[in-house]
Amino acid sequence: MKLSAIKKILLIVCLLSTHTGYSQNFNVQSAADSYKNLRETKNRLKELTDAKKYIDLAAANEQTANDPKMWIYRGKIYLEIDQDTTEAVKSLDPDAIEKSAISFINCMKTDTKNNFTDECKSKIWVAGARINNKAIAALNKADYDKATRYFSIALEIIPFDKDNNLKRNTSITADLITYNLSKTAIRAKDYSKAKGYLQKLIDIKYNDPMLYVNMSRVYLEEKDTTKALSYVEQGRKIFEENTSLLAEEIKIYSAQGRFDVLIDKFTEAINIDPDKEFLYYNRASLYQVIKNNEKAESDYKKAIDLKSEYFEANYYLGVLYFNQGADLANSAKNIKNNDEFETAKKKYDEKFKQAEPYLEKALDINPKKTEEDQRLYKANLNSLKQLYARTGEMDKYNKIKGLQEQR
Amino acid sequence: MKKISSLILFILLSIFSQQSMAQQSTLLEKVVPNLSATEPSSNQKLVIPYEKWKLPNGLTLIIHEDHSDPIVDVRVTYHVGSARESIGKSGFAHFFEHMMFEGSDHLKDKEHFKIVSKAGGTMNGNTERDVTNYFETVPSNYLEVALWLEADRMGFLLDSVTKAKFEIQRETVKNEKGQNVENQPYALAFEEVLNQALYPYGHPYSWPVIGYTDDLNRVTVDDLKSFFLRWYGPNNAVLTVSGDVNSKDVLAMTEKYFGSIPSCPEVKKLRIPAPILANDQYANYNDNIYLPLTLMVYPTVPSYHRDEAALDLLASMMGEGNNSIFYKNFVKNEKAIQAGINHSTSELAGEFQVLVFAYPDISYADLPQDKEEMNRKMHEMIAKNFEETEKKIHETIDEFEKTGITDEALQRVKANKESQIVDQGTSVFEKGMMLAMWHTILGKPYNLNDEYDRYDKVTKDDVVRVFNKYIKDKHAAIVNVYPKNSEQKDSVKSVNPYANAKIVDNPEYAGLKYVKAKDNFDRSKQPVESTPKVPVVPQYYTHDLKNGLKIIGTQDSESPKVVLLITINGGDLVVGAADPKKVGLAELTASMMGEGTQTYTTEQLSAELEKLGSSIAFSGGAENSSIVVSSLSKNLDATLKLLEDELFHPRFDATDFKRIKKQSMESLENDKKVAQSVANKLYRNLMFGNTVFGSYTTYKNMKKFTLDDVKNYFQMYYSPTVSNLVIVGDIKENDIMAKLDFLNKWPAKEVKLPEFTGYAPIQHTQIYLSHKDDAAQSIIMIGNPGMAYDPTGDYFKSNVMNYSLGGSFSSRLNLNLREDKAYTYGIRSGFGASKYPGSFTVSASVRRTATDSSITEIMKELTNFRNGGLKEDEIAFTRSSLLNSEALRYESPFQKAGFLSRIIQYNLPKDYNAAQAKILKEISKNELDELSKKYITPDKMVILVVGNKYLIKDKLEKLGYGKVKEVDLD
Repeated sequence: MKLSAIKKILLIVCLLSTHTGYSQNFNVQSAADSYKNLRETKNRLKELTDAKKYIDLAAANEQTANDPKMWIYRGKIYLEIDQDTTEAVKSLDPDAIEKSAISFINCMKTDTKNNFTDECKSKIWVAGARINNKAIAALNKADYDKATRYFSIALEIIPFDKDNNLKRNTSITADLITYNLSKTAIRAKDYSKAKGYLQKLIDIKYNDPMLYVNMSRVYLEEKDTTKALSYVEQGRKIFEENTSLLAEEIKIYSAQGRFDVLIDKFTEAINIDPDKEFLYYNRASLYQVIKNNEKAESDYKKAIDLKSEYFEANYYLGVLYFNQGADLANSAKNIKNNDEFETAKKKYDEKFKQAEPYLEKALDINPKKTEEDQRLYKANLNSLKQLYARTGEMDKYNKIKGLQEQR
Repeated sequence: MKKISSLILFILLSIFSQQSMAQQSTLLEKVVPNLSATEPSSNQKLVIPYEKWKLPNGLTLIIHEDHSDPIVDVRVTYHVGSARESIGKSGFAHFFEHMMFEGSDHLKDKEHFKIVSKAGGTMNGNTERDVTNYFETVPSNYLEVALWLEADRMGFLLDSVTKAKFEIQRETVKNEKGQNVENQPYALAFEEVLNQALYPYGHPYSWPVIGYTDDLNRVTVDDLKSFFLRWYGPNNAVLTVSGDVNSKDVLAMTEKYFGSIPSCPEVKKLRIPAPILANDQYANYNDNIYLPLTLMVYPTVPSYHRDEAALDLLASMMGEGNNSIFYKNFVKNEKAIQAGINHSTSELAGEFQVLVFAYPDISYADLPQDKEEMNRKMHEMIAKNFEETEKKIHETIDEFEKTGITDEALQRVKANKESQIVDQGTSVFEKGMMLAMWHTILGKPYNLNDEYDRYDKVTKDDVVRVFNKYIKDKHAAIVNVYPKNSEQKDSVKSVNPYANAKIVDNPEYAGLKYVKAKDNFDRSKQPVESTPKVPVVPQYYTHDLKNGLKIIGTQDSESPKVVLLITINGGDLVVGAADPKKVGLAELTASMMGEGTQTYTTEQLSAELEKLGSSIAFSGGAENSSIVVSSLSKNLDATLKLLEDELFHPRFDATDFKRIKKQSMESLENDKKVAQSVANKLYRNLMFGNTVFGSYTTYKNMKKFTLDDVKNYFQMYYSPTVSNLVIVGDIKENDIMAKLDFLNKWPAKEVKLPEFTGYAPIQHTQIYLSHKDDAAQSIIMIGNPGMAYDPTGDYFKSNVMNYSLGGSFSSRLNLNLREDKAYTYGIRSGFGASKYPGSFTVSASVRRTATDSSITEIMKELTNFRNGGLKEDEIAFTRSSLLNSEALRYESPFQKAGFLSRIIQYNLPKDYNAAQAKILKEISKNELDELSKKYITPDKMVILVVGNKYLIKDKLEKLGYGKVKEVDLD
């Protein structure tokens, strides 16, 4: 080949290469022009379609792929698409916010000469707020992959939000995003990841009792009750009045049959809030399980004092007296001495009489909504029938019989 | 100190069985003072004796007997407030407060107001997050009437809640919101923005008590009726009767009037956990303000939680008074005009509020010319300012931790608290309010001595513990209030975050039925009041010191405190009469009088006062300067020592002066954003011209004052020759006079009070307009010059004449503009005066769109009143109301001090009240009509409007008063 021919080829290659570079810069510039036209245009769809076309071309080319100018415009163009209120524009790219946010991050990373940093700082937090909100929406729609991806991008933005705009204008922080990532992982049943996020938050003393509840639940899912309990206890020390943690603790101890510990826990809870009738009711049930009838009776009564229409408390206090009466009656069967028997009979009659108003009240207020209500209603009718038979109150007996027959 | 609980005999009777409850009222508690106690009398006074009864329908009745004045406070506290509302239905409890004054089965529209006013009583209602109170204080012979009134609106209200009344009140509530929230600087920050940031979505404290406007627009009569049926039953209320009553009679009357009212459905305690913030929650908004506000609020504990007392003391220690660390780091350092901490609690949550009103700190020289760019830059500067303030708050909290808590600091805040607790029990109104709240929120026996004990028991460790638990490294809701720039055309508006939320029907309101009580007596007959008792006019003693100081005093043993009020005549008058530019010097001097002595710095002086729980406050005004001293009786000697030091040896330090002057100057700038303040200054100026009484302090004039001006003022005008002293307190005449011996050393200086020749007359009625950016409401002040104070002459008689025009709720002006047209939340008129002539003034804040119509109506009422004269029933109403109201005039220490002050200030005869009563009984219609013609001159009036000129000016020009003149503050 002749030298001149080589020169010619080189020139063509050179020209081609210049043209390609020029063409890519041209794409960035064209995208920028379309973006700028948005201020005045009435046809946002056309301008944004063009802007997107040019900026996508620029982004795909390795010559402009690391150009901070390309990234800032890409960020801004996709942010405009995301923020637009019309479906036509929005449908240009349903994931526009992801592209926008990543573009701003890349702009901050590549803009070593600080040509675009100020402008990027003023936009990146807006993209951060929007992608965080979309992540929450994805989480609510059970799209866990998307939620995780979006939250992660939001998290990546935080260090670039140098003026703390995200925090000061939207209250979004790295901690909050990490918390939401933990929620996403739990819902996605990715317990390993969830534990990682939760532990990180616990280590930085993130102020939310649900961290400990969630960590405990994760360990319970993994059948590690000891660990589950340890996290609940850790949380209880910090949030001593939190009822979610208390409920979690009760759940675990109940499953283990550790009623003595639970009674102490309820006592603790009652000391914090002495007006909660259900706490007395629950402690009464536990006392009944461990056969401390005296204390059970006292707690049932306290629950009823606080809430006279408390169906379960009325019913089980009636049952407590009824059973005490039944026990006494059974023992009395073997007494042969008439005087002794009369004394014993007086005692069990008293117990049955004590049961009567509570069982009657329970019958009146039974909401009969759940299967359990229905079961107790039936049992209550039986108890009352027996009771009236014993006391000889035949009108009431017949009324109960009638109710049973209706069923 | 011996435990106070040992001073009382406390009887707690257990609740009787349900069977007995169904038939008769049950005594639940009875607290009586232990008369055999040997402790000093002051301790016994902390206990409020009472009986607590439960009626079979669930109504709780609390009776407190206090026979010191012939008055009674009757209040019904319903345990329902905005916390019982739901999303999309905010403002119901408050709306109902308005409807409760609109008549019931046996009371015509507005009759409640008329009856209480005619009885000489006062009445109102207030709605909070957790409770709604309805109350009236009346002469005690009207007890049965008050009970009958309250029972009627509890049991017989709903048929009177008509669509027409409902619509008027809907507008009135919106006017109230416009006036008290949207047109008030910073009000939105506290009422709405903070709560939206602090409380989670749907939490009932997240919406404002007054409600969102779109919710108010949406509510129907039926919604409101359901709300009433659900919550306003006797079983969800406590009736508190405190005052000059007999418990047996009260119980019998209560059973008669309230006993038959059916209960509402069972009300369960609201159980919503206090919020926990895992992150700082920011909320920013723009308001018509001058000083940027940072409001940083840490969530704490509900009312009466075991940590509340320690948190209260922590807040006082960190942010109250000149010794607090927030004062030192912000105010003393001139970073903020005001910085402090307030801890407030409600039934469901508490708030530890850090407030910093920073100086704007804008470098105007650095601002670009382009307006848009300038506003952006200003916003940036203020944002930076906020960041720095926030950083400084955190540094201050860290510094507090490092510095630690001293025994002395704890003692100071406890003493202060003790003093506050004592102050709470000085009137039957306050005592009734406390008894009702303790029952409603706390629900167990409680008294002022328990309140004292819970603060007294707090240790340093407790304060450290609550600091660590609730504040240190904890997150807060942070509201930044930006000054709105003139380019921002949007009004400062409330935004409802639940505007698009789905409104769900609450099953609690399903199937409610209105069941009226059945009685065996005729409720339509108003009970006849019993024979009135003679008001207890304070007996007083007087002394004239050789140096000219006049003293008047009375012994008041109702609370263990002593109040002294020193009035030094002169004020701005002595310097401003010759040169109105000197107006403001009296106030500046007074401010410097409170800044330490030659022995104590400002901080040391405050510390000494705080240790005693005492206060010494100096102030200066147009005609006089005053000193108000308040001290527990037991600490009076030490307090008077400090007064002596302050009065005779003020510090007048140059650094303090620089700071105080800066604060005063910036306050003047801030005042320009407060519509009412602007209106008051301009109105005075238009009324009294450039005289000393028409002039106001300007930024420019304040800037010119020097420390020498202040020193000279003090040297020349703080003199006993023009001063008087009023004493009210738990101390005998001889004892206090001995303690006040030091006042004989106060050197007499001759002060000549200038004669005042009067003002230039107003030639014709003219409208003046001052522009306020985007004001939703317009402030209207209309009037003409009046006369000087005269207790039995034209001044007194003219106010009698004015009573039915604009001096009471049932006045012509209020009934027309509030109750009929719904233009305003309230309108009043009256004659104001001192030794120098004042003015007749009508004032109101009205809806912007009704500005011109309001002026038309006001002028029409004034003209009709003047031309048509008073009606006989108006005169009878005025006569009854003002004569009866005397019983209410001498109850509290400050009321007594006011009475004595008038006597000594105006040299009144001992029986001037009797002379006034005689006038009231005898004054004729003719004389009153003549007075209205003489002193109300609609054709020669000033009409001032402060509002949005762009929207109202054209309409004002069509009212027939010529071209509107625009005016503004200098």
